Amino acid sequence: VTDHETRLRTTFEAVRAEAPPEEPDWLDVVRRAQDVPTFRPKRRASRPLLIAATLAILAGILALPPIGLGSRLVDLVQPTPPVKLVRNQFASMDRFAKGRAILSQTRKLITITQYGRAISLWVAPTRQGGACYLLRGPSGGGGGCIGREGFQHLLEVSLNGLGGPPLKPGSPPPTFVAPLPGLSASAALLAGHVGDDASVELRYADGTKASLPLTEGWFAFAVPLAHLRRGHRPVALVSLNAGGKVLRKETQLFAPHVRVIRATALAGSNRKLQTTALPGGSRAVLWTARSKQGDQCLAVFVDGKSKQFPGWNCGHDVGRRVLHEFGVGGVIRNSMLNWEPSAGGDPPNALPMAAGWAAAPIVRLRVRYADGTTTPVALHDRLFLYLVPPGKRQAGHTPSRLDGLDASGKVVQTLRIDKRRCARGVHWTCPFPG
Amino acid sequence: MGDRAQEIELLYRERYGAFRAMAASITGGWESAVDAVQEGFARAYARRSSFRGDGSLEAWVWRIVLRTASEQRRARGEVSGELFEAQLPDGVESSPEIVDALRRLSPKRRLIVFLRYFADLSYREIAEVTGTTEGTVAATLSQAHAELARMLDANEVRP
Repeated sequence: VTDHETRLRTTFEAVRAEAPPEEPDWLDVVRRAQDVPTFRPKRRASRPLLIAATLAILAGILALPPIGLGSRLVDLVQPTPPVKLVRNQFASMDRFAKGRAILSQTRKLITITQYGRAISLWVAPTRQGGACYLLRGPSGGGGGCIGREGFQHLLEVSLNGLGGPPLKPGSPPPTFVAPLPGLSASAALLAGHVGDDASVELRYADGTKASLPLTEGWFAFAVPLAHLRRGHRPVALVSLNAGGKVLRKETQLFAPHVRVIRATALAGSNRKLQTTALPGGSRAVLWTARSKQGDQCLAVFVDGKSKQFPGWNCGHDVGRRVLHEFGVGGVIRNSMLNWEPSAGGDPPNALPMAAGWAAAPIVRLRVRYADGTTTPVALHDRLFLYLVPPGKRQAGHTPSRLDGLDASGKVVQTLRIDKRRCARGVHWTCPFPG
Repeated sequence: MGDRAQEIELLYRERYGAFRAMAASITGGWESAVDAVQEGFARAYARRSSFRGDGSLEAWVWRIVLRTASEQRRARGEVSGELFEAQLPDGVESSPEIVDALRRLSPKRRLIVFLRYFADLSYREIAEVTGTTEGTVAATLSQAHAELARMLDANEVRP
């Protein structure tokens, strides 16, 4: 490196250092995109071509992870919730952890910023010596309740609104929440707690590391954007004792593609559950499989041409009650119903569909429409695939509720279907009413 | 097309800083750079179906953002003979001899210097953005270095 090259680099680095903080805003991009004139073909496409294009779009969207990227960080943009809301969330989470949270002692302990927005770590002790914690921005976040043992001796981590591990009584305390596949920003927020005299260190792929500041043993940390790039990402979160000995090291869940497992990894376990006819003779097929970890997987393929796409959603929560997760409509708590919409193409050609699951004790599903009519939705191995019929796509007739019924026919849970259940930023044309 | 939308969003989130720096080197300001990046990505997102796949999607988006930044600069009345002419970003004035040397570079060399050292792009990325080859990028950078070295050495006051 020559002297003048060094001067050049130094000069530019100084300019970059003076730059205002980066505040990427994908929603703004999507909003602007709606005003961008698109290129029109000179000749009107034939009907088969239109259908093929629509199905290609549909296949692509269906192949997306069922929880969209756009909603994740977007959830962190609304006004800061009052402590009462946090207490309610702690109360809800503690119903399953049964740590007897002392809600009156709920407090905001640490506030950090990410992309210029405030994100706070809220904590409350439990009567059993553990704690409930919630790392959240204005209207979304992630957290859980941990027992005394985990609280005292183990590193606890939560990521921002990316879904959480089950918080069943007696289960191990939560560790990392698996990042969404291939999305570097998903491992952007860390939070947790370590015992007395311990420290926390984040190690990056480029060999550098950061010591995370602790407040009463808690930490909250936004991974710098410079470390969300290939080759610089976090690779390990480590807790160390005063002597520098590693107490715990988390690495696995920083790896991409943890949550979504490629279809090839599931060879032999795939089963076709349902085939739904689409316009133009195409078919959407609902598949299930088992992951290497023994979890249930769900996938929807159109015309079988998307099989190579890693569109499998496998995880601890598939087919089960979601105790604590951050869906597109915000925090999902104790939900037996999971409904993930897809919109193939733009209106008026969009094909509104949804896939998801219903946990026990739900054995039957039905959709209620805005016009008061209902229709059953077939449930196969706890999973479903639902295409909104042509007569139910107009205002006043669209799906409004999803009912989950138990064996006796009693409705045990109802899910409201509206725009909040469309993944903003990804499915920005939403076929469901708002 | 859904995964193409996701690819564009992922590119935006992963490389936002590089895009902003690249745009700043065209528009000459951070605020206008942000606007160029937002607008460029909006165009790419809206027109993703027109991407023909005869190159990488990333390069296609880079070129759209670069063109958008250039258009914004021209819209402000700063008409240039070059389609993509790098401009000195705010703050470089603190090194007047560097500024002077950079200003005297040809527009093409200046742009590639900016993309390399300011936007921190790799040779491959610069080649994709400017529609050239990595070899051309390397050669242009080498020529720019030689020219800069000559100018800076000539201005240097030695004891």
